[in-house]
Amino acid sequence: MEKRESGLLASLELKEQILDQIPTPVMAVDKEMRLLYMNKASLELLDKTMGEVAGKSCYDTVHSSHCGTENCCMRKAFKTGEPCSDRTELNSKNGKIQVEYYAVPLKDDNGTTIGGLEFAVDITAQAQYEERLREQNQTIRLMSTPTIKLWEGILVLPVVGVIDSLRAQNMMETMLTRIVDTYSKVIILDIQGVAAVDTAVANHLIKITKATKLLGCECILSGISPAVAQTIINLGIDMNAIKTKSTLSDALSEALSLIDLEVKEKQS
Amino acid sequence: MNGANLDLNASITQIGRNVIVTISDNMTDDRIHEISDIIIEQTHRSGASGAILNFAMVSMIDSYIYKTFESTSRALTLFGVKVVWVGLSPGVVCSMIDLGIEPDENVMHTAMTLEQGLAELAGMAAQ
Repeated sequence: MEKRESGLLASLELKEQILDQIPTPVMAVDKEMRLLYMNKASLELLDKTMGEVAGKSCYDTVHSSHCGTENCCMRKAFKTGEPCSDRTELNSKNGKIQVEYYAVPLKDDNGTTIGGLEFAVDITAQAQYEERLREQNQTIRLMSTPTIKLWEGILVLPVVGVIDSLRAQNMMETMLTRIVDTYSKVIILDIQGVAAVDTAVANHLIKITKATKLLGCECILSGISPAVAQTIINLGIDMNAIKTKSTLSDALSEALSLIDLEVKEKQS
Repeated sequence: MNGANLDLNASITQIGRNVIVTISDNMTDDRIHEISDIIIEQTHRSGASGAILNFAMVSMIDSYIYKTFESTSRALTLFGVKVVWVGLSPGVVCSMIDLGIEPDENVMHTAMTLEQGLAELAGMAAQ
């Protein structure tokens, strides 16, 4: 009998030791959200001792951005009886950290919920990485449509890389806004840097031209290489709706003549 | 006519030989139709040579509005009136292109501002 009890005690101790050695915060609460247990990692994170936190409500101890709101996963888990996970911000002793936490309802033998278990994973680094990725995306998006004012009433938009429908949409919006901002009469779309022109790309270009036309702004497509010209013809794309030129300088002289300007050699 | 203007959320002004129609936002389909009728009537009566439809205040053009004003413009060209659409905003243009609208050069010209529209009409009259 004694042996069994000590065996049980030993196994309880072992379990606690195991929980304490898990490097991520683990805690258990009862139905009223009072703290029953916190492992070493979570106590260290909050800089508290078990004596300080035992019996206190978890939202008074943890202070995450979800605490005391409807977003709390523990509350959701109690309500549904199903495990629940989400992301939140936590106030640790080292300042705010981003965590992904999981709340699991603890059930007795009859299946009624008697409390909850919660464990969290620090995702600060991951969140920062995602944030950086978003910023980079934004930068690339801004860089992908550099509209340059070449002359009063003439804009140039060099396109480099691959045109997909998202980018085409983006290009169209930026272009139209710039055209209205600068009161431009002509825009030159330079596709020298576009790797390949297929039917989809051509369709986008035609759409863009039509859109600029609606603003009363003429669109000239320049930088068409022999290879691109051949593909366009082989694909049977009708580019009659667009003014096309082979080089940017050709397009520029066309643009200048459209706004009744001409370039002359200086008389000396 | 002025009384009608107040009712129609649109102003129809004649300057010289040009009729300038400013179209406002949030119009019902019936209103659009009435405005269209009045534009055609007024332009015919005044013997104008050019018409400008100003969409600067319009925040959205759906296929119905487009169709109505396109037919209006078509009717006006039958009188030999040159039609210029002005003031389309980038957002409106984007949505028009997404709707697959293809403006006909022979029916109406487009310009960014009222000023450019008037210049375009003057240019066409000179030709």
